[in-house]
Amino acid sequence: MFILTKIADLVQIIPEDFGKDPAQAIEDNINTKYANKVIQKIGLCICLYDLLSASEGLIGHGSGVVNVNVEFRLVVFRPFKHEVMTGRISSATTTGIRIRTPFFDDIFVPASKLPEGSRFEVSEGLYVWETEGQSLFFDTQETVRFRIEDEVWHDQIPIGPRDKEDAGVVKSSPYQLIATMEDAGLGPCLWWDGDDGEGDEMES
Amino acid sequence: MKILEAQSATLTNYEVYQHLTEQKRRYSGTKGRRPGNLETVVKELLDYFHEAPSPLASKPFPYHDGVFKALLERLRPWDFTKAEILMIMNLRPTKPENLNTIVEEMEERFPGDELQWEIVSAIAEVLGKPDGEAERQAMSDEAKEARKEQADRRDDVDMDG
Repeated sequence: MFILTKIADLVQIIPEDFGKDPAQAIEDNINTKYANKVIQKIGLCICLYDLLSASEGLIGHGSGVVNVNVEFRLVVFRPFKHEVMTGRISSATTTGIRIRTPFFDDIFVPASKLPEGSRFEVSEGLYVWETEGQSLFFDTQETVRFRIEDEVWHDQIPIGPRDKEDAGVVKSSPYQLIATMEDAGLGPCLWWDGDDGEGDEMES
Repeated sequence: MKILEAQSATLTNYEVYQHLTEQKRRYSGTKGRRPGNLETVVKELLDYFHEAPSPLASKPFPYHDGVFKALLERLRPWDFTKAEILMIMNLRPTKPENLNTIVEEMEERFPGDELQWEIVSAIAEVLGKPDGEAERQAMSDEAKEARKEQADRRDDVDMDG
């Protein structure tokens, strides 16, 4: 789920931070810039992992800001293709199920990637899987297991003044994951993690 | 900003967890506030790790310093890929059904119930077994609580509207 990414960047320390320990000032600076943010084609940055090198501080002309060139590694959330993860169902629509985790809420399971025999129950607003005469429900907030199939990146381009007037422009999230719950063992954990007696019913 | 290496290493959830708890401990000793966006994401990530069925939430705590090496050693007889080992470490499958989601083409590579149970019991030997009853209870409780919160929020909106 997590990777390390090596980045080189320029850190600018403002005079207010001169009282801090230099390493701490650099760390705070990097975290302010990257933590909880998505870099396109890299993933969701969590925090600084370690500082690899830092140059001498150079004071900028006229501003008093200290410029430091640093190389560091970041902890980044970027599940690989076919990785299995857990999360919770946040909502369901006719197009599919949305899953969230506390720190990342853009995981989508299209209706076609649900087990065969699943259908959307409009009155309840959730999916039902009919199997061997049993109805199993994809309840909201249920903990589910899913496999990552694809990722979708949207570069956040600023919206121009003309587009802004069109209310039709939908802001899409920068990083979205597409997942599947089609195979045996995927879907609500409660279906599969029961004690042997319950679990055996599901085996085909 | 320049990306020098998009992926220089892969981390297990346990390593990330260790990094975050160590960082938290280090910060508690220093004065000043850390950036708000950092605090948010760290809190949310720790919440995720503490939610059932994450092995990091289970008691006794399944991981320790030499655990990864021990797991590799124990799984050596079988031919798992690196990605599979990583997922085994993160998800701790203790039933063939759970292992099946992680391992591709399991029936061809590791045929038969007996062999599959042997593998999952080897994993359980190193990482321990979840307390099934407690874990399921925790999962339903969490779901119930979240559902209630969601309903409360909806009520608020209704009242406002």
